[in-house]
Amino acid sequence: MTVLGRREPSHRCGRLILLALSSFAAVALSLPAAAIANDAGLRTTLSLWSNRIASDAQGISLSAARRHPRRMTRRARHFRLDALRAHTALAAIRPSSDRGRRAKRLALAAFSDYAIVGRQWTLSGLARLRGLRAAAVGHARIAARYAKRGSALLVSAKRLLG
Amino acid sequence: MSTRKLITTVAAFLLLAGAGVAAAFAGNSPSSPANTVTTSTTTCSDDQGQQGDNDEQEAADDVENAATKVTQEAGRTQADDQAGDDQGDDSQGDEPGDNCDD
Repeated sequence: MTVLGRREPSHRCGRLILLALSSFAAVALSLPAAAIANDAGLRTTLSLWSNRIASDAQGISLSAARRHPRRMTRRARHFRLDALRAHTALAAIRPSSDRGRRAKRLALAAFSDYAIVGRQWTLSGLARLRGLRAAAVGHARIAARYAKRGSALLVSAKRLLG
Repeated sequence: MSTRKLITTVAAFLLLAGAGVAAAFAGNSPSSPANTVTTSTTTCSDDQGQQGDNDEQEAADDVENAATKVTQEAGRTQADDQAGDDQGDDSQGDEPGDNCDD
């Protein structure tokens, strides 16, 4: 009985240590992945999505120049989707510095503007398909305005990241 | 005995919670979208291998050029190329980047 009485506190202590080790293990598991999400990750993601957006824009430019409104409309929808995907990807990143956080805000605003650009290009293409030239021009002009603002924001974000 | 079970359960729960948090971070990390984009740009981008420091500037220029082009063409009275446009729906590859479309 006395032996049991002595062993009880040591068992309890062992359990507490086990519990503490389990907690540390849980925290340690989450740390390596969290460390990835920093300014470098933001820079890489921004660069890759910019590349994709550029490729989409080249296609739209080509379709517009060749007077293929249906194809341009399809590409414009794709452009918008890519802008939204870029926004989602960037929103998930947690920058590690103040500059990174500012760059993220600018980049998010840039891709939001690009999503509007994609929408306006789509509407412009649809208007062209219906023979509504004035509406097509109107939507294209709105797109151009947002494209200019989005591009300025994107370049500013890049400058902040160095 | 019940205390031991409780502690084991709590420990297992913490481990699972840790794994969940790690998975969430991993899912949010840039590696996921980055990999997706890398795969796509390998097949779609016209300028493979030119990815560098100026991706953002190039994107900005390309978007603005496209905006100018779309505005110019929207205002032009010339008829659209219906034949070429219709052909584009059925065939692939007569314009660069067509295989990028959904």
